[in-house]
Amino acid sequence: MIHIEKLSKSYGAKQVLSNINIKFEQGKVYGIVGENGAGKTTLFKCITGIEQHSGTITAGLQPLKDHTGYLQTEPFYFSKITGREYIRLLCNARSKDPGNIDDKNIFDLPLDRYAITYSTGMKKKLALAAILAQENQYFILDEPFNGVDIQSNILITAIIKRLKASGKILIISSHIFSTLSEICDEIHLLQHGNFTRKVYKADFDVLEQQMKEIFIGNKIDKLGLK
Amino acid sequence: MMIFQHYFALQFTMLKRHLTGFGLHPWLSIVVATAAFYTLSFYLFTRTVYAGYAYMLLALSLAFKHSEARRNDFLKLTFSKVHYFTTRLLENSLTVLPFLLFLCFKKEPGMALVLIMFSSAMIFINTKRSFSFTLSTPFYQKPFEFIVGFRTWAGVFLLAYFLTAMSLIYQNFNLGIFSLMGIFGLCLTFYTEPENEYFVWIHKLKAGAFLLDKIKTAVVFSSLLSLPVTLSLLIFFRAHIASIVIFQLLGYCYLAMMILAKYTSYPEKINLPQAILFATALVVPPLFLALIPFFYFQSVKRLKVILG
Repeated sequence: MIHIEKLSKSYGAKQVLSNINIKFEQGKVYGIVGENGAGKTTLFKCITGIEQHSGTITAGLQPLKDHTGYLQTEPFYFSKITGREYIRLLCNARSKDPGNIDDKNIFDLPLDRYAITYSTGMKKKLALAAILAQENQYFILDEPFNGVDIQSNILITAIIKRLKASGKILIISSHIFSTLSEICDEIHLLQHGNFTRKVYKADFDVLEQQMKEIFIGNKIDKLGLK
Repeated sequence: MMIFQHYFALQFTMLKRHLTGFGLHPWLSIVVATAAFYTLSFYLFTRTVYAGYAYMLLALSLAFKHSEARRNDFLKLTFSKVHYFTTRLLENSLTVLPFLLFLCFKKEPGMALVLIMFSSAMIFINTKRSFSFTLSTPFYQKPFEFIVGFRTWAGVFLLAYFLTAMSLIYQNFNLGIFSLMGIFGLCLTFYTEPENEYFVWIHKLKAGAFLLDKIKTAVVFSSLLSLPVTLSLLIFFRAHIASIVIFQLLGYCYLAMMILAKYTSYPEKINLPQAILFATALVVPPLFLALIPFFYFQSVKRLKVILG
């Protein structure tokens, strides 16, 4: 369980997150949706402890950061490090033996090539493979499907379902609603730094429709496309 | 004209921001850098007859930095073909201009002409963006600093080993020590840039243990890199064993201090006062005794924010 109470975050005078209260339970997948700049990544950074914040975050396993696999929107890679070395680095950091890394290479990545030369999708898959090798209990996946090919998309969805079945907590952000509706138990709408809606699986279609109305509105008409 | 005016004004604004970010006054640092550049140029030309060649090489290597493929892809997408090549020509010309002026002052028209020709021709060069060849390293077990650093400076390490061999052949102990300290100097560069916060956050270790682990890794791996030099010197210069050991220990101290200094302002780059302290200790080694604990406590304070 991860319990967030009264979490707020500001950058100078700019309030990014305001009084967030939410509880994440074992064996569930939570989707976080919101416009660009709504505060999703900031929220993830606060949960992981990368960003300082006010309010409290408690978790079943402490410290939370040592049991969390965080997939960043754009994973950072050093200029001359191979895929294999990257996985080892993340495992070493958590004192985990990576074992046979080739067995864990489910995305068939060229592990002995420099990671910086990978395509966007390959970089994402490598980062995911590395946090899976860490054997975390909690997963925060920021846009896990971005830039990833359709085959890997299917594979990632299957991985998420397996992790959920084994009792892990998964918090996922995505701009692709169809993938979230397939894997999530709950979807939370983040607007202006606060959760404004919580929707269960049965009402995902309604949420999607409402989001279209809110976010599209008459903006297309304003473009005056000819 | 407006396009170039805007582009170069933006470049200049970025330069000023870099200098301000480093705690320097932009205009003052430009004046000081110009004065330092020409002072060093005069010094170089009084020291060796090959100064002109070194000078040209330095100028071209600076201009070469504008050949980075991704940056140029952006410029190609943004500008028309004519504007792209004009921009690159102007960039390269501005980069080599201070060198060119000095060569003209030293009455070296031939070299100045070669510099103009090469820097102009370089506008057609874009550096490769990917390398299919992966250089193996003995540092596989503990990524990342030595893996990245070794691959970046592999050629220079070979040069250091070559200099060691020369020191043995010509029985020049100082040259041997120079190559040993050169190896430690290169290792120091592995720790100059703060890594992305994610790569600190992933660690299970607490701040103090994290720093000690970094130092331990650096000592083991730098020993591995310096081993051929140290062993050769110990075997061939037995009369200087004490000096060799002292320099080796000095190398470890420099490394430890560099690692600790790196995290004193983390996740920002090391700031100017700390950089000055570090540079002073390089010249006055006894300062280690005070600076190592000072940097350690400052780094622990910064890292605690992320590592708890």
